[in-house]
Amino acid sequence: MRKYMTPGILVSALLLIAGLVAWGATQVVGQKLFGATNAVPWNILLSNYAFLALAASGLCLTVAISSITGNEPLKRVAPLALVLSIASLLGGMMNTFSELGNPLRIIYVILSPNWSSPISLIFFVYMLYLPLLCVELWMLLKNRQEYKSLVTGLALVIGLTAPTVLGTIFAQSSGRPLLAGFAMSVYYLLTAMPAGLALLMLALMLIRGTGAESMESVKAAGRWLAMTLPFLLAALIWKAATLPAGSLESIATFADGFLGRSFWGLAPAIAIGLPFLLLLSKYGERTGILAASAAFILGGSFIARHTELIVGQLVPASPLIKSGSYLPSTADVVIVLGWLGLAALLFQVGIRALGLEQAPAAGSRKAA
Amino acid sequence: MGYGMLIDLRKCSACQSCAINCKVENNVPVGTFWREITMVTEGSFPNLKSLPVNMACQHCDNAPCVNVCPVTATYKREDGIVVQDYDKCVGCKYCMVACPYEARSFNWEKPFKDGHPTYLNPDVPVRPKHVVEKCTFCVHRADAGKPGPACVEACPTRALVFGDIDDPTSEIAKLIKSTGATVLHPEFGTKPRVYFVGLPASLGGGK
Repeated sequence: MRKYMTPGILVSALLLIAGLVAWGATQVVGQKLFGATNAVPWNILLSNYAFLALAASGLCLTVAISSITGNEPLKRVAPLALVLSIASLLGGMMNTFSELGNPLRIIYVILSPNWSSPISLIFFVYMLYLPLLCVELWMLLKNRQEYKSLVTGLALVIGLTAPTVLGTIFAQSSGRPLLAGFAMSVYYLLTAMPAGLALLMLALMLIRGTGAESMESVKAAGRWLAMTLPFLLAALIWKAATLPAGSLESIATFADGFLGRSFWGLAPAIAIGLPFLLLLSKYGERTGILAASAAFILGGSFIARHTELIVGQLVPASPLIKSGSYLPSTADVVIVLGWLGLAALLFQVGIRALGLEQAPAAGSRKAA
Repeated sequence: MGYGMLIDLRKCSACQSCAINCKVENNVPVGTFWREITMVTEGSFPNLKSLPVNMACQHCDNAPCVNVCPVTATYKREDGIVVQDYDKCVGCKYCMVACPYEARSFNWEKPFKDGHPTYLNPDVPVRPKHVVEKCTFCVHRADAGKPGPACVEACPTRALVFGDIDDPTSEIAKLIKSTGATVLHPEFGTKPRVYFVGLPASLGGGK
């Protein structure tokens, strides 16, 4: 029991408790405690959901691709990556669950699903995804080889499907050029891997330290990260290039202020440009640079998810539409911190329960 | 058979009677409007023109809200009216994000917190907190055989006309044809069942 009494677990638990209290308050008093309005109905909970769910998919893809390509340093950390993926996914799902006005009515997705709705689709994708991650983790821990190829293949397919469908949720927003269109799905798909790799790198350094064993995996993840960032930049350029004629200018005007500047400048610089330059530099494999790159990507991804979702909800095309504004309320922030705390708590408890907090001994590594 | 509405902006005096009668008829909560008059300014200084545009749910045939609702709480009736099942609405607000006309409102708190005041219309349910609501073309009146929505009844200049737009012999169908009425933002591809006469070009009207 003592191994669970760590400062990280206690802080995560406290955040979770605070988040649960704030969520309870929104259910009793009403979602007027949110900072959202009718013009901007989705709040920071939705952007935090996208942030965590994309990172979870990135981790799932990292495990599947490292298995297929035989990348040993990353294969070694696959169980830890899967625990992190499961924890992130559950934390992400709780964000969207607590954003629902009537969460228990989610049962109607099963009783009367609407197959044209991406939310229905993602619900069923997650119903497959979560058990599959658990099965994959169990097989890795037990070193079961029977259906390894099948499970890895399925994980790869689901890991690619989940961010694509997540992008489709926002892509079906008529009259909102920043979100609408199939480029959103591609953009989200290519966002997943960098977010997952960055999360894995930081988690490894925090949990297993910066010894040679741990850093070998971190460096391997860093190399993959440097490879995936140009694809993400290309997807962002593609997203901007496929915006309907005139909408780029109208969005820029409409989303003036911090969010507008953040979307067009700050987020791409922090989440893509800066870490890419750092990783390609001659100091790219130093511990501090790897940690800073991963932190920039995660911070930039959080800002990017938030700004694109908030700015994206505005309708710039019509003079009829009232301009909206959104500032996260105290309840919004506390709930988001609570679900981040849940993800951190599940991860820390999970790796301790499964004995993954230390790198496997050399003998057991060879056996695996 | 498919209900629709024609709004002649040339006749609209922006008196807000339609918006107020709608609120009273449908027990619309304080701070929420199912129907609103929005003033749109056209032209450039000094040749400016201010035009009242009557906004509410457009009851689209290709309704994005119906397409995205994960639990089919929003659906289209056979008579063309888009309605909301308040007992099923999960409160995800996806329909609000999907609607390009921003015609939907969310009950962020319990409406009419002072219980069930006597001034409320007993024919229309008071919606609970955390559900999405919007114009229903006064579906309760249509089902009871009344002539049209409350907004149409209230309009002093007869700027609003309601009827079966799918029947070419109906008054509204003839008016749509003869006036060259257009829909709001046809580029959205939503196929609205609300037509406008005198709509500015910036909103989808003719030059």
